[in-house]
Amino acid sequence: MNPAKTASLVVVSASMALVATHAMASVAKDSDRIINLAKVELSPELQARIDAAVAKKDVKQAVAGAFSILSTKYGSGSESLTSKYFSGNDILLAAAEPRADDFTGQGYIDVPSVTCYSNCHSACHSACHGSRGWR
Amino acid sequence: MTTLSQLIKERETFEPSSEEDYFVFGIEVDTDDVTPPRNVREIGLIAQTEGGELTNEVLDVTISYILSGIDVLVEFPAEIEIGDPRHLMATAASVNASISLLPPKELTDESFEAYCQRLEAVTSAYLKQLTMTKFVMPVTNYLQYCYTEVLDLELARSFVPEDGYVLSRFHEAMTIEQSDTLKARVRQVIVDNFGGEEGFRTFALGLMGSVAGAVETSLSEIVEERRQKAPPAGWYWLSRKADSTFAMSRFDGVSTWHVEQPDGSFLAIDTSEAGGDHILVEPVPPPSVGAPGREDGGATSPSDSPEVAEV
Repeated sequence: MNPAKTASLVVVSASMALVATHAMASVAKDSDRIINLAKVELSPELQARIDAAVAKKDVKQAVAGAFSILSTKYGSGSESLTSKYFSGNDILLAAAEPRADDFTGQGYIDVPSVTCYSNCHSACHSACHGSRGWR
Repeated sequence: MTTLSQLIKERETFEPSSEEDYFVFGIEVDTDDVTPPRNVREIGLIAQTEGGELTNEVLDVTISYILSGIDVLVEFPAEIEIGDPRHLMATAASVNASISLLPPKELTDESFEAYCQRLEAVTSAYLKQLTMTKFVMPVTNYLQYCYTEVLDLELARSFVPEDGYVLSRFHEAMTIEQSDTLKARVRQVIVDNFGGEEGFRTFALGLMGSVAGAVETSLSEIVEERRQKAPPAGWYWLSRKADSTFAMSRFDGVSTWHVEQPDGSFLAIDTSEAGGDHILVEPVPPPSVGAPGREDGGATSPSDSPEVAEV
C-alpha cells in the first residue's frame, strides 16, 4: 500500500481527535514523568485536516477539560509545557491561593484545573471520570 | 431492562448520591414523551429499527435529549439490524449521538463471527465519517487503546479497563480469546486505513502533537493576556495588605517591582509576590531626579480618597 496515497485519503473527524485527547489524558494521569511526543512529518494536507479536527468545538472542550494534566505532563525533555510558560514560583503561588485581586495580573495563573462540574460533558468525561479505553 | 417512562417517573423524586447515578443505560423507548428525565447526564437508549433505520420514536427522543444537553448513546443489541453502517454513522453524526454495538447475548461461533463482521464494517465506516463528533463503542474504546500504545507501550501493556460501561457491556461479555480476536480484526481495519502500523503510528503522533500544540497555544495566550492586564511601567502607590502601610514603588513593566522599604531603600520584588501582598492605590508621576527614590521629588502621599486602580 502506498503510504502517501493512503495519507491523502485519510479522513480526520473530531471524534478521532477526541479519542486521542482522552488517551493523552489517561496516560498523563498514570505517568510520573514528562511525556515527550516524537515529532513526525506529515503532508501539509493531512496536517491541515488534523488541525481542523482539533479546532472543532467538542475537541476544544475536551482539551480544556484536561488542560491542567495535559499542560503539566506533556512537554520537551524534562520541562512541561506549563514550566515553559510559567516559572515554578508562579505555579506554586497559584496552587497555594487563588488571588483574584492581584493587580499585577501575574501572581494568579488561572490554568484551568481538572474539576468535574455539575453538568460534566462527555467531551471531557475521561478527564473527570477515567478512561473508557478497552484493551 | 428499564423503560423510558419508568425512568422519567423514577427520576421525579430520585436524588443522585454519586457520579454514577447521573449515567443510565439500557433504556427502552416506550413513550413519545420527549421531556428529559431529571438528573441524567448521559443516557443509553436501546435502538429500535425498521428496515435498518432508527425508528422515529428513538430518533425524536435522541434529538430532544441531545438538544437539552444530555449525552445520548444509542445501543444496538446484536439482533437489531443496523442497515448500511455508512448511513448509521451519518445519522449518528448528524444528531451528535454516540453509538454502542453490543455483543450477542449468546455467543456461538456463528453469532461471534457475525459480530466481528459487524464491527469491521462499522469501524471502516467510522474512519470515513468526517463529521463524527461522538463515540462508536467498542471501536473508539479500542482506538483509544491504540493511541495509548503509541504514547507509552509499557503503560499500555498494563492497561486495565476501568469504566463501568466498558466492563459490563464488552469486557465481561466475552472470553479473553474472543476479545483478543475481535480487537485484532478491528485493529486490522484501523491500520489498513492508515497504510499499515507505521502509518497509523505516524498519524497518531501527528494528531496528538496537534492536541499538545493546542494546549501550548492556550498557554501562550494566557501569558499574553496576563501581560496585557499588568499595569504599564511607571511609579505607583502600593498599600501593603499586611499592615495597610503605603509604599512608593516603581514597576519595570515586565516582572519586577521596586518597593520602597522603611529605611528608604528599594527592594526588588517579583511581580507575582508584589501582586499577592499589595493593593495598587494609584499611579503617580515619576520623581524628578534620581530614580529609584522618592526623596528627590514626586508624590509624597497617596490621594485623600485613594481609589484602587484597575489597570
